[in-house]
Amino acid sequence: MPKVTFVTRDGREIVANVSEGTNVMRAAVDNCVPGIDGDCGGSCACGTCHVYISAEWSGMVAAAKSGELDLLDFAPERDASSRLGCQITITAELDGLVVTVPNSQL
Amino acid sequence: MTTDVDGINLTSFEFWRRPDRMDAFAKLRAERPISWHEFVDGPERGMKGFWALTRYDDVVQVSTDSKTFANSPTTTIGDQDAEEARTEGWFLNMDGAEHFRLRHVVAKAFSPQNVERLRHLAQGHAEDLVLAAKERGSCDFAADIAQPFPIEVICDFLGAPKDNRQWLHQTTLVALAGDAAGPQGLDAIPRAFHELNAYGEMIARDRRKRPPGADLLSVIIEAEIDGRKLSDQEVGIFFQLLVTAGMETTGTAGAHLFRVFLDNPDQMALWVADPKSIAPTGVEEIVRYISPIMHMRRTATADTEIAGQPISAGDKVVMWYIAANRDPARFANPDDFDVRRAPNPHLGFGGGGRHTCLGAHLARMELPILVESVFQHLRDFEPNGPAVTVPSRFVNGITSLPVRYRAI
Repeated sequence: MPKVTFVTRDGREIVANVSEGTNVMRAAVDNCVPGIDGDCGGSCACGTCHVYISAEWSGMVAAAKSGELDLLDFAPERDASSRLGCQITITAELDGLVVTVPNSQL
Repeated sequence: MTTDVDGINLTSFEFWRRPDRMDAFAKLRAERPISWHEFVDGPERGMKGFWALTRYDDVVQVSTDSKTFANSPTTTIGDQDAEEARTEGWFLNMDGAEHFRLRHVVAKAFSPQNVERLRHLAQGHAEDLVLAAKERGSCDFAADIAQPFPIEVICDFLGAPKDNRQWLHQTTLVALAGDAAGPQGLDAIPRAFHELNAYGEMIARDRRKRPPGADLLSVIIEAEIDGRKLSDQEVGIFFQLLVTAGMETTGTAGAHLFRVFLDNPDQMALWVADPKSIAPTGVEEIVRYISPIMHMRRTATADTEIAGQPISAGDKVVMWYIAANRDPARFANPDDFDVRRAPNPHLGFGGGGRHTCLGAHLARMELPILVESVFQHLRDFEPNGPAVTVPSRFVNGITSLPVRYRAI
């Protein structure tokens, strides 16, 4: 099962075993990672699953579509590595993915 | 009764009274999946026609591209001026930052985590309604149980007063399904919205007199957007949007569920036998099967195309969830009601994107509670008269489901 490491805003690392096909938001919520909300339940409608994916991994993740980019416009402390966790699906190739949690969500 | 695609006009009030309308949608989907429909009847004659999408993939394409397919000027199939669109649909008819900021006011309140706080309250309401019917041996399942249940829950959630809830429901039915009465019913729709907005404004004004609390009305009253709070009028419209959406849709799903159970006793038996396992998939299936909100309209902001069909800027594009949810390209045996269907990526809460149903998680929490309460007290359901459905073009409504049963 692929492992995903969540780096929380207070510097802790939470390593989660995540089933393939799960999205990063669902993985975070199911593993009680603080700081990722997912208010809309994963529909790309709320922007509260904002995470940072490093350059090392961003090329391996499917590119953001316009709906996700629109919502990221509202995310606090957005940068070039910003993604919405609900739009990132975990595959075997993403084993070892590192996801950083922002200081705040919308 | 023609099922020739040329004879199918989705604006027609007669079409919606046809018992074979699902066959008509299947025919459109198979033979003319993107079809043009003109307004020809009564007060709507002269309004701009629309493209009707009936396939799953086409609905998803439009729903998830909010730049090319906007919610403004309005999401109704008919035409509305800016004031109507604002006061009837509120942020449903908005795009961009304006939409997002208003939805965001209540987004956390409707999260899966937060709606859980209403579980105990919802269970109490379901029990009260079922117990009131239990010893009678028969009731109108829609009017007595399934419709009142979400009315109580959404009104408690909002902090609406205990009185006037029946009036709220009856007025909601006119606002959302006034077209079911035919062209002469159309005039009643704006009046109903006006009354609901006025009621919302009155209770907002009243609510402000007391300290803010945990109720949703407080959350809306206290919210600040661009440095200012909403006016009483704006809070009233917000109230109307949430109360109409929160009652009609879930009430429809719950009532239709028992109508569908009567036609599919094997599916009911599965749910009775193992409610905890079946409820999660069963709820998704009734939403797919019934699609309580049957359509939403978008407007093209630029020349574009959908599956090879050229669409001009300004064209209305209507997503028919009721058809897309039976698309055989996406659902095996789509016309079968299967409470164990999985996966079930239905479009009953929308085709995806930023306008996805805000209340989806509330509905997902409520419906299993309703079913569990019914099955704890009642068995051996039989029809006790004809179901009365609502021939609206918008909501797949049901106002009456006479049943008889045995108390356990």
